[in-house]
Amino acid sequence: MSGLRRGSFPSLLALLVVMLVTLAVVYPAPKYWQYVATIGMIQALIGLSIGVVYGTAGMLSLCQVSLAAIGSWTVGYMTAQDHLLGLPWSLAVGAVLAVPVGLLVGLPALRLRGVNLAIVTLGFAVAIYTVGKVGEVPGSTSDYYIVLPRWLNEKGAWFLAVWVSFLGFAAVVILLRRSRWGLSWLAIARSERAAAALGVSVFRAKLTAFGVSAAIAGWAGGMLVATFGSADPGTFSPFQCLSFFVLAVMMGAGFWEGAFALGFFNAVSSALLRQWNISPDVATLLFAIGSIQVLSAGRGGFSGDVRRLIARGRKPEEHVVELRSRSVEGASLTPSRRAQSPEDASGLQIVDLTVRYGAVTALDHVSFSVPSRSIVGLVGPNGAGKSTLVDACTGFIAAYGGSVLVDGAPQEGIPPHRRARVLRRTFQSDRTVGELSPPDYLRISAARDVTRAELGEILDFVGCTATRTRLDRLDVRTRRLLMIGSCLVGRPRVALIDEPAAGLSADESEDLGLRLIDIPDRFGASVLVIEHDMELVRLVCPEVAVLDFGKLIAFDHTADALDDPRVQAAYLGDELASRA
Amino acid sequence: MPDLVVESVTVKRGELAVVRGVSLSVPAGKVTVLLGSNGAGKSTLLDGISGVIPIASGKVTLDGEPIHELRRDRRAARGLAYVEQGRTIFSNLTVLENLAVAVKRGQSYDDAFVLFPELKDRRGIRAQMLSGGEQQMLVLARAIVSEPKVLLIDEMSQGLAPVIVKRLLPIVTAAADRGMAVLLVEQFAHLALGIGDRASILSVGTVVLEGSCSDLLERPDDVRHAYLQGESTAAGIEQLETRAAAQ
Amino acid sequence: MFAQVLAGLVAGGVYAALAVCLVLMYQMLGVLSFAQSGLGALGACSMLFFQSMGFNAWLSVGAGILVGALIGVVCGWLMARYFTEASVETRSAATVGFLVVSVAVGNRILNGATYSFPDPFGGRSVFIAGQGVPVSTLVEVALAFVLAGGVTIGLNRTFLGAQLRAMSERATTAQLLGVRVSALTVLVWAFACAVSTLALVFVLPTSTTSFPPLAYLIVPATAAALLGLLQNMYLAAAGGLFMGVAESLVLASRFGRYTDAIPFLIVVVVMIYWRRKDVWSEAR
Repeated sequence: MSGLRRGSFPSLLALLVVMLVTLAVVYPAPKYWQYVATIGMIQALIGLSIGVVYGTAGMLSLCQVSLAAIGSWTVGYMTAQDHLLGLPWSLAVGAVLAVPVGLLVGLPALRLRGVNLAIVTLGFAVAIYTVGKVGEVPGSTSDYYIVLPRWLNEKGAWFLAVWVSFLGFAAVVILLRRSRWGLSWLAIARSERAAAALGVSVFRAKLTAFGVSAAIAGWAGGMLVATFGSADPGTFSPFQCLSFFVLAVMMGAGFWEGAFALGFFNAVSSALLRQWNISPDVATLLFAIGSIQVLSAGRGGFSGDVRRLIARGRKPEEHVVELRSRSVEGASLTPSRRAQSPEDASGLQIVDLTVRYGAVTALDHVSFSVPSRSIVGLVGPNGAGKSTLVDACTGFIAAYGGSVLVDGAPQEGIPPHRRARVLRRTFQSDRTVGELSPPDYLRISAARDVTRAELGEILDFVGCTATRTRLDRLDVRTRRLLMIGSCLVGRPRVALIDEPAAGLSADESEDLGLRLIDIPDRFGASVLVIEHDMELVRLVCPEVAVLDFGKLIAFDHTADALDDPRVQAAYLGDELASRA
Repeated sequence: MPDLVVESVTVKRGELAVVRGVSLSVPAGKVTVLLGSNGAGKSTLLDGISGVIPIASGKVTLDGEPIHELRRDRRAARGLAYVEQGRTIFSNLTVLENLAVAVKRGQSYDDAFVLFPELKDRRGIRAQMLSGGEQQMLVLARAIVSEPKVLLIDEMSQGLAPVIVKRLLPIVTAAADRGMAVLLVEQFAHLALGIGDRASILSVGTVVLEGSCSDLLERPDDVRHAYLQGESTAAGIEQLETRAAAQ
Repeated sequence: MFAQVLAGLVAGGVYAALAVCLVLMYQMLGVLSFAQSGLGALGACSMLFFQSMGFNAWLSVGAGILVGALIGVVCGWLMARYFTEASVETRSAATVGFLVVSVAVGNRILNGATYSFPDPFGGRSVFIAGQGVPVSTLVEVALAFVLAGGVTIGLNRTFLGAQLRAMSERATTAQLLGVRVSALTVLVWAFACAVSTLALVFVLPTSTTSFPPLAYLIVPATAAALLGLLQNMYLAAAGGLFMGVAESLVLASRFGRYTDAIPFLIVVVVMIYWRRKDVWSEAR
């Protein structure tokens, strides 16, 4: 928790400062400008909502403004039409009611991604607009007028209420962004597979993102209708949805300052255009063009620019890598096997694993085991089925024959993010989350809150001294090892490491190998290493399993296996075979 | 057939100069080898020569004509062929269609099929169904079928069993024998030095050693030292890592 | 009810034609163009200008299609110049920007006055089973399927098609092989916008007072494209017709006022069913 607070502190402080300045400027200002500022701040709230679901979680939801409509209907009905509940309680109810609707929209998100989701949400925006136009839902007509209660009607009181709302929600978003919810949002924005392999429930991450953003939008919608007195469906039309989306993109609303900028620029521009008698379409046009520019540059819009300016002012973190080497540590070339009695079912057991893709048999009744606290290598030529095996073990293949057991417990029927509690994997390509710092990245993959000591241990194991630098600014070797570290922070029983040495230099590979050797004793896990680099395999693995065309052709002590003529013929080529 | 000449080329990835002032000559009819450890800048240099990344400074000339300001497809039209790292086949197209995209008017696939009979047998099959080795053959065939003047090859051996790499290396030599200027990038020195004519070793973005391949094969310690150059000090390590990060 | 079904073909035809364009652009260019109907509407609106200059209906339509193609060239150029390395989501988000631009501009053009658009078929109708069906509707429906068929054949049998498919998979590698990716991008955009203009021309009512409804034809069109799983043009075209007929039936029922919500409902139901086994089928 302390790490959390420390990381959010600068943002919270900046938020407070900006908000206080705003208050100081707007509170004494004439009514018209207060009104403009009020609208702007509510729009900033909507921006915050879009920021959570698109800016942070990366989901193309085009209907956030429609969720605001739910809030406005609630307030309209409860406060004006039936006098059930006064402000601000009806606001809260509105926000709460928007959540299930938001979750309903989120459900397609579980199955649809990217543009498919955009299509569904756009359809939803039109559907809500239609429902609003028909007017059968209570509160959706405009034949009422909301009168603010006396205490909110005093000079500046309503603005203050809106001001408090934005401050509160923005602070919540800042804190959430660095909590496990927020980190899971960032993870799924990058890669859902990698997120699930880290133990993140993609299901829960998506639904929480939709839920939180719906609540914010619902509250904003309620406030908007209370400000106007009443609202016609046009306030929440599909066009408004798209315009706000475009603005949110341009301002980078995933961060609080982007949302604030959205409200600010929108309010200021509409006020100015009104003064100069220019149609508001012009502003919309300019913002749309701005959003296209921002998307093409790909650097996060307004808030991205702000953050970059600030980062430039900061001193970059010193990150020195010290590679471990055999010449210093003197590890023997052939590690010894760990003795394990045959009845001991601990570790990873693969029994009769069979995977078929149509007519192709990717894995053919493969059986071997990785005893607890030991390291086994998995080698084989390209296309032999190694990655398929890892996919099957970790649950990314829907149907396979045979069984995968961890400590005697069969994993069939358990989805990937739950298998990740005991069985972790790395990916061949870089699936880390670039925006995060190493400690944050490690924190996502622990299934629980980790102490700074535990994080420190992993960072020490990886040999990474950088704690503030973003992952995408670190070198390949450190990122690769952090990916392995992220497996270990969850204290799994088994770690499957897929081609860790690919693209590393000889010295970096040696360093990697020496660190891999430490894993069983230091973290209590069994390790299966898939590799092409034979020197690494000889250094690290006492035993090796050899796959060829989906079949296990050897499982033996490494030196013996690599000397086996069948293995050499299949994989090492006649060059080495003739040398034997 | 023309020579490719690289003069004092600097290539940046983002704000970092990954390749700094590299000069290299790739003469026609010979295999020039470019070696170096991971992060040295080999792929980045090829990306700069082929136009995947614009070069920050320097010149690249083909037969004396500068090509470094041309768009990628125009460089291809001038006779530059680039076999990228990672077997970049068009997986949804058949073998024949993959070759068709590369071939120019009046050229035929006969040559490619003579060199790679396996591809001829599979010409109607979608490229994603091929094995790793066959895919690498397809990528090579695709480059050769357009009768290029310059052939750039980036880490052809990566992820392939040695027995397959042995099958592909003679093709590289054959390409040079036909007069192409071949630039072969490899991380594993012994493979490339065996078929190359001259070699340059890149480290931390600059050329640190150069010579004839037969000569370098006799001097393995010098080669190893060249790979490690720049790592002996902490500052050097840091430079190496930041350059690797930029890749 | 038959009358409603036939009436539904009017809108269904546009949805179908637009949906085929959307699938083409998605497959070839890796972008879902939310602006397609808006851009086509702008092209269609230009016909008013030509009509006012005295061109006859056919010439106005032809000139309008050219304008549509030009608009496509501009958009395609922007996409090729600035968005080649971007993701599908980013490109598609950019087209949301195009859509907003088209509505902002279109609002200026159709600012509330009543216009009558040229009808190249002079309002003629054909009688099917006692019901009158406008010729333009029949042509529209035929257009959608001819388009789907023609494009599919073109992609799979021609050299240009192979280049397009190669480009859609790996644009950089295609360029390195000499494929002129920027030119092809502009070509596809111009083609798609010309087709979209044509599609809208056949459906424009005699009097139109506002632009947004034309731009929002994209909603059922994208829903139809989704029914084709963004892959299959024939399914997308059929989906468009289905959408049009469904809307027409709902319009005549007691839920008539909720007609615009139909695309959403259809798409949600179909997608949840169709993708119910999907978990990790996409590489992400």
